[in-house]
Amino acid sequence: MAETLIDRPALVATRPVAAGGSGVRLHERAGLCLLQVIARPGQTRETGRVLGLDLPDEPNTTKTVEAIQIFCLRPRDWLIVMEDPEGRAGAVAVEARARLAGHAAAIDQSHGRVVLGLAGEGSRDLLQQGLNVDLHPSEFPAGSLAQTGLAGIAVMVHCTSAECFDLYVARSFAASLAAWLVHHGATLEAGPVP
Amino acid sequence: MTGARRLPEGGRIDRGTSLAFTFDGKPLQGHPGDTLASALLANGVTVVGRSFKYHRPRGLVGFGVEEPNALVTLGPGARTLANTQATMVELHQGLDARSQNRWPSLAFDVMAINGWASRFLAAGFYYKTFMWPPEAWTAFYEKVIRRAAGLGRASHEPDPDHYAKAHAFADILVVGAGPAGLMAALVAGRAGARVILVDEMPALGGRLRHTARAIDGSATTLWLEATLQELESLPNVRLLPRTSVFGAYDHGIMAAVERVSDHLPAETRGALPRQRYWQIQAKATILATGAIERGIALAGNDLPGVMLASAARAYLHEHAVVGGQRPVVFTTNPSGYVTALELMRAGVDVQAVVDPGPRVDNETVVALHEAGVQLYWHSTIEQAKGRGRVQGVVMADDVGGRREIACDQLLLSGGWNPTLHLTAHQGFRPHWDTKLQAFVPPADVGDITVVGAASGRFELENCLADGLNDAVALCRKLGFSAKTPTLPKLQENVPYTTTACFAVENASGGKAFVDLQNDVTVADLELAVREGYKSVEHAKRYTTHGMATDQGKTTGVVGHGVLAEILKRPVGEIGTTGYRPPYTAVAIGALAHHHRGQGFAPVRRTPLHDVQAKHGAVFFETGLWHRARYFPEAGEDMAAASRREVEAIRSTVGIADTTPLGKIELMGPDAQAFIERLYCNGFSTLKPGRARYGLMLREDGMVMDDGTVWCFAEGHFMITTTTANAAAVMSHIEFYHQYYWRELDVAYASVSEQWAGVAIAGPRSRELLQKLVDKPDLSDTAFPFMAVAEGRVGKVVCRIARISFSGERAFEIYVPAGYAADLYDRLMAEGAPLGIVPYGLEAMGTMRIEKGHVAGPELDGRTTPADLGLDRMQSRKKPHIGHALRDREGLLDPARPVLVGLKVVNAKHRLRAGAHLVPRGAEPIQSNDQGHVTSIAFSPSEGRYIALALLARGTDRHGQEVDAVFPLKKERVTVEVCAPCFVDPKGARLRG
Repeated sequence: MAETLIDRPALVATRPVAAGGSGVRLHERAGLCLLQVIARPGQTRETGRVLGLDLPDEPNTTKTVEAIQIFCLRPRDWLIVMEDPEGRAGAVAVEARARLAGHAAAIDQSHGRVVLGLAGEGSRDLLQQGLNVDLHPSEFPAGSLAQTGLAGIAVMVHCTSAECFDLYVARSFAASLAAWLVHHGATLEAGPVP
Repeated sequence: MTGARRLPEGGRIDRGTSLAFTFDGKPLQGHPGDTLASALLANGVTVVGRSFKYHRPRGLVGFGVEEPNALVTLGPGARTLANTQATMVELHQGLDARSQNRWPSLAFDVMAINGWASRFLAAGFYYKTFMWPPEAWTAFYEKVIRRAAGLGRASHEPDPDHYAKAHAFADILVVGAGPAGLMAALVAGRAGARVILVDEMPALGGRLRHTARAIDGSATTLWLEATLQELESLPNVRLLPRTSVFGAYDHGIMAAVERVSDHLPAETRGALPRQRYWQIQAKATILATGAIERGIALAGNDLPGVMLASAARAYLHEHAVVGGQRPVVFTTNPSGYVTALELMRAGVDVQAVVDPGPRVDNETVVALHEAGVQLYWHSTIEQAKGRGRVQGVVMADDVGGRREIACDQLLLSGGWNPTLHLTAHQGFRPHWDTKLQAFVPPADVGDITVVGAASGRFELENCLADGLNDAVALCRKLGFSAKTPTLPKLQENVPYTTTACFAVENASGGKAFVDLQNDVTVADLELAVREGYKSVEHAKRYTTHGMATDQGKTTGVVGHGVLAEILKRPVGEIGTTGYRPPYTAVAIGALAHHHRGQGFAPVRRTPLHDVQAKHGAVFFETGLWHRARYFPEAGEDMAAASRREVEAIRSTVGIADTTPLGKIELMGPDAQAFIERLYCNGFSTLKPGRARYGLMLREDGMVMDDGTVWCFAEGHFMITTTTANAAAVMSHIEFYHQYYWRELDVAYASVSEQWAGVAIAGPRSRELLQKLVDKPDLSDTAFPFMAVAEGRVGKVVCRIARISFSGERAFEIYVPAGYAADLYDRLMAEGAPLGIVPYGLEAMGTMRIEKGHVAGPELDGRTTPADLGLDRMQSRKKPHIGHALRDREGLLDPARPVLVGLKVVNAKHRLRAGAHLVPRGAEPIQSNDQGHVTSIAFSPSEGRYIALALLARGTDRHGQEVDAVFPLKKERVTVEVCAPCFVDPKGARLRG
C-alpha cells in the first residue's frame, strides 16, 4: 500500500499572527468529522433510527447528543459534527452511505468546512462588528445556530456557551475570515502542527 | 470690535484648562467643553466663512447640525477634512481649522465681486449661461464653476485613519437624548428592555442643557445628572453620544455614525477608530429628535451677527458665550422671549423684542417688561443693516411706521420645525399643521413612535410626558411591565403659539436669503415661479434651495413658505420636498470601514496555495480566487515559463491545481433523471465508472456552463462546473428542483470545498499517478479515457477520472482538501525523475485553446451549442432546460458567428482578445463587423499566436484571411481562419 497522505490544517500558512490585544482567542478546531446527511422525503425517522440519533427537524436548530452535535441546515438536511482525531471521516462517510441507502444521502464535508473557535470575554462584541445577527444571550443562547455572512463570507455560527462561538466557513475562505477576526482584535492561537 | 465674548461665569466649560488652537493660522485659546464655534465666538471671531456663490462674509447662525455657514477645513495633509461644521467640532489642543471659499483671505475676498455682479447670477444662471456647446461642460465650464464656487478641498492622499462598523440590536432604540428621549429611555430601561439611546451631541440632555427652568423645584442640571447616572447604571441600556442616526431603512434598520475619536488630537487616538458606522436594528424606535428653529427671510439676513435665538441661548448656557452686547430679537413664538430674558439675566443689553403677532402675556413677557426691554407686537424687522456685520435693524411697526434700532446682533426665531427626517426616510410624508405653522409627521409612522418636539409638541412638559407615556405603552406592547413614574414638576407652562412669518418684504432691495449655504434668495424663488418652476420640487432644483450640505435645516421650510406666498396658496398644499438619507454628512470611510485595500473583498485560496508558492508559483486574481498563473525559472518571463510548461506536458508530465472547479454531488433514485434534464446532451446511458462531458443551457437556449458528470454508482454522481459558475449552477439546480421538479427524489450538496484536486497531464501521467494510487488500476484497458472511480491513496479516499482539458493523456484526482498539499508534494517528488513540471493557468489556457475547448470567454451567455460547434451534442430526443427555446429563428440564423480558430499570417504578429474581425482591409466600423476574438494564446505547437473566435459563417470560411482590428490601440493584424483545433484533432494522444 502506498504511504497514506498527511492532513494539513487550513490555517497553517496564516500563523504566526501578531496578538490582537483583546481577550478573545481564536483557534482552528481541526480533527472533526463533518457528515452531511440529506434524508429522502418521508425518511427522516428512518434516517434517525439508522444513525441512532434524534434529528431536530426545524432548520437552524441544533441538538447535542453526548459528544455529537447535530445541526439542522434545511428541512431533511443535517450536519453531524463529531471528534475525529484519527482522520476516519472519509471512511465514516462511505459506511454511512451504505447503511443509509434507501433512506438518505451521506456526504463527507469534514475538509470542506473549517471550524474556527472563538472564545473569551468580548467574543460577542467582536463578532457583532460584522455579524448582522443578534448574539445577545437572550436571543442567541448556547446551542443557537445561524447561517449568515461575515465580511462577505458565508458562515454558520454556533454558540457553544456564553462568549464561545464556533464559526463554520468554507475552507477557501478560512484564512480570509481569520484575518478579519484578527484585525478586529482576536488572538490566533497556534493550531495543530502538521 | 464685535460684541462676541465669553462671560465671566457660567457655562459647562473647564475654565481652569486652556486649549490652544488656530483659525486661519491665527493662534487662539479656548477651554475643554468648547466647540470650535463657541471658541471662535469667545475670541470675538464673527466672520467664519464666505458664501458659496456671492462670496459674502458669513457668521455663525446655529449651534449644532443645522449650521449652514460655518463650514471649515480641519487638519493637515492627509487628515484634511473639508466642509466640517464648526458647531460640531469639539475643541481640542492643537486643533487646526481653516475657513473656506475665500481667496486670498477671509477678510478680503476677490470673488466677492460675484456679489456686486449678482444680477447675472440669478436662479438657473448656470443652465442659462453655460449652454453650448455641450462638450464644453466637461472640458471647461465645470472646472471654472467649481473653482469659483466650490466648497472646501479634499486631500488627495489616502485616508490615514481607520473606521469601524458594528451591528447593534435592541428592544427599543431611542433617537435623541433631550427631555423626551431621556424620559423614554429611563422608563424602558427600568422596565428591563434592551435600550439604545443615541444623541448626536457629545453630552446627553439636548435642550435641557439650554434652559434656566427648574425641574422638581431645583435646577434642571440636577435632574439631568441624576437621570444620566441612573441610565449609566442600567446594564440593559447602551448610551451612544456623538452618534448621529442618519438614515432609516426597511425592517426598522437605522444607520448611525459615531464620532469615536474625532474630538481627540490625532496623536492621542491610539488604536481607536476615527468613526464607527452602526447598523441598529430594534423592535421599536422612539424618535425624540426634537425640533430645529428656523430663520426669517429679510433683507440682510445673512450678515454676520444674524443668529437663531435658540443658538444664542445654547451658547449662553453651554459655553457662557454671547455673540453680541446689544441684540434685537425678532420672534414669532415664545422661544424668542425666553432667549431675550435669559440673555438679560446674563447681563446682555437686549434692545428690543419684535413680534409680528399679537400680545400674549405670560411671566416671561412681564419679566422682560419689568427689566425695561422694549417689546413690539404686530411689528416686523424689515432689514438688517451694517457693513460686514449687523449694526442696526429697520423695524416696521403695526401702524406703518419705520424706525431704525441700533444693535450688534439680530436673533431670529421664525418658529420651530420638528426634526422628522427619519420618518420621512420611511416614506411617511409630513403634513402641514396650521396652528404650529410647521410640517409634522403623520400620526401613524409604522414602527416608529414620535415623541415630544419631533411630533410638534414643543413644550417641555409635553416632551417629558410623551417620553414617559409612549415608552410605557411601547414597553407593555413588547411584553415588559413598565411602571409609570410620576412626571417631574415644572414651573409655569407657556403653551406654544406662533404667527406665520416666512419673509418680510422691504423696499431696500437687499438680498433676503432662503438658503444661506447655497445663496438662494426670495428673488430667486420669484424668478423660478415666473419661469414656470412652480412645483416645490422644481423650484428646489432650479434654485438649488435646500440642496446644500445642511439640507435646508434652518431655512428649508422658510423657502416653502415663501413659495406659498408667491403662489398665493397654503403651505400645506405646496407641500415639502422629499427627505433622503443621510440626515447629516457621513464620511465615506465610515461606510467603507474595514472594506478597503486588502480588506475590500475576501480572498479565496486553495489548499495548494502554499505548496505551489514553494514551487515558485506567481499568483493571479481570478474573481476572489488567487490562482497559480505560471512557475517561472530563473530569468523567465510569463511567456517563456508557460511555453516551457506546455512543452513539458506535451512531452512528459505536469501537474496543476484544479480545486476551484465547482463540484456538486447528486444522490438518490432520480439523480440520473435530474441530470438528464439539467444538461442538453444525453445521460441516460451513462454507466457507473464512467464520466461524460456535459453542456448546460439556460432556459433561453443559450449555453450556461459546461463540465463533466462522474457516475460512481447507480444514483450517485458528482458534476463539475466551471470555477466562475460554481455558485450559479448550484442555485440553478436548487431553483429547478424546488420550483419545477419537486417530484424528483434527489439530494444534492456542494462539495467544491471538500475535494481539492490536481490535474496530471502528459504522456507519463499514468506512470506517475499509479505510484501513489493503490486503487484503481489505471492501465489503459482497466481505466480508459473517461473512466472514473473512487480510489485510495493509502487510507485516504480519493476520486479519480481520466479526463483531459489539455488534449494529452491526463487524469484528475481529488482528495479531501486537507490531504491535497501532501499529495502535491508527493507527486512533485515522485515525478522529479520523469521531468515533471508544475503548471499554471497560462499553460492550461494555452492548451485548451490549442485544443479548441471552450471556456468563459466563449460561454459569454450569448452563444448557443451550434455557435460553439457543439450542436451534435444537443439531444433532440429528451426534454431539457433550454429545449423549448433553442430553435428560435434568430438562433438558427446561418449567418450567426460561430467558433473558429485563427492563426496570425505573419508569425511575428501578436493578437489581442476582444479584437473585432473585419474583411481584409475593411474599415473598422460596425457595419463591417463579422465577429470577435474570444481567447488568444501563443501556441508552442504552431510557433505563433493563435486564437479562438466567433466569426459569421465561420465554418465555411476555413482557409480565408480576415483582419483582427482593435481600434482603441489602432491595431490591425491579418489572420487565417481555420478549424478550432490546433493539436491532435483526432484525439490520439488523449486516448492512447
